[in-house]
Amino acid sequence: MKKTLNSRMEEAGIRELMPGFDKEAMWQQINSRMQHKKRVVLWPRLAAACLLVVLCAVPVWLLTKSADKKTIADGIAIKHEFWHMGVLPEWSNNTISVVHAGDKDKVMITPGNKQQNTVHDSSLLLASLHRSGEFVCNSTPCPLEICITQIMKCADGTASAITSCSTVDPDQARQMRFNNNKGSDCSVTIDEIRIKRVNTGETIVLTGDSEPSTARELFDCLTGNADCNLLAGVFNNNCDNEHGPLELKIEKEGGSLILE
Amino acid sequence: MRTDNHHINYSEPELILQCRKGNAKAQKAIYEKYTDDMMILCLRYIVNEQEALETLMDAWLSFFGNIDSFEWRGDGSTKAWLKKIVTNQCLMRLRKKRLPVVTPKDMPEHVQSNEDDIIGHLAAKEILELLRQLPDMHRTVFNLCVFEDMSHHEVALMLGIPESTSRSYLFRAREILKKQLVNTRI
Repeated sequence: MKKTLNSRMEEAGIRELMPGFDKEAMWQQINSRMQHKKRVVLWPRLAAACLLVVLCAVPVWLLTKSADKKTIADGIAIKHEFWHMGVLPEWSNNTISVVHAGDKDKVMITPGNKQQNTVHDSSLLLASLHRSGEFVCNSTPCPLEICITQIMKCADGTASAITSCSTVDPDQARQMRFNNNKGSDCSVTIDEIRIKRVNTGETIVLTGDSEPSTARELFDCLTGNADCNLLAGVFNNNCDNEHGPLELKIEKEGGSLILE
Repeated sequence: MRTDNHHINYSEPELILQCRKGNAKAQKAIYEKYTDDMMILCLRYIVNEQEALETLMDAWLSFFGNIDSFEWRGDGSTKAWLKKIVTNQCLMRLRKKRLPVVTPKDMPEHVQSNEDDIIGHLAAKEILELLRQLPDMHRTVFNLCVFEDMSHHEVALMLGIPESTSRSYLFRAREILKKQLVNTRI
């Protein structure tokens, strides 16, 4: 009899028991809620996938970057001479740190006898080191270290000389680093460029009035701001200290700068 | 078993398979086939028609959302699984309303009763009307015991009440129904 009751209810049909029941309208609601649910479910999945990609990519990026960071940190030398405007103390007490931010490598110099937070506004020098657009290829038989020294003067009266060094091995090409003064209130001028034969230590020094080329001329050449075809200087010896005078020329060939 | 609903000519196992793949036509075909019976089921548990509609919608969403875990085991298995989902949804909604669990008194130790004696001769609409006049807990126990054919042990486990309380509710529900019938005839 229980079954009879149950089946009698079902046999009666919904039209008799609930005449206002709109089956189609209800389906539309169910269907739209299912579609919405699909979309809602899809977003977390997409977000999770993106997160996974980021989580995988970051360690790889960090590993790549850390190798580069060491090179940059090694290549940065701060000249011991500086144009002191009464703010910066002895260089030896200063803290120099390299911070990577995007494609920029920020060099922060904090005077050692002051706390960093009090120094920040008045005498923190912030330089952004950029890679030049030009690749420099070393076609000489010796590794060459090229150090570009720039003078940075800031609006608050502080000034400093920043040297960025890059070593180019024989038959290798790399971009030089220098301060292009982007995003800074400080003015930057080229002071000198030193090209050193790593093996012998012999160095060609280019300054504002050096012969046959000035530091400015070579710098414009390295940064791609001028056409290159110049004689940088003369080395007295080759890598093994055995050969006679050798000219160091730089010229543009096939889109790259060639040191020869 | 073949169904020809909205140009879908699949057997039920095929329909279930298509539902798993998110085929909207297959979903609608299943919906069309069972939704009337399920609406009646909801109306037996939930008095308010709007609440019954919402409950049924939740049940269908739960059905399609969990269809991957459903295994078709012959004719009637889809309906049985769907009934289980709808019943659970109804109970969940009633629980949200905090069903008043009290132990009715004045119940004889052994009660033998045949629902046919009480409401068996009534039309379906009259049965539904009488059921909907019962208090929530009495109606729920009556539904589970009489319509779903569950034992007091099963009802007790499902509602989290002692078996004796389930028996009491069923007894009281029958008493109320008898009184209502007498009053209606007068």
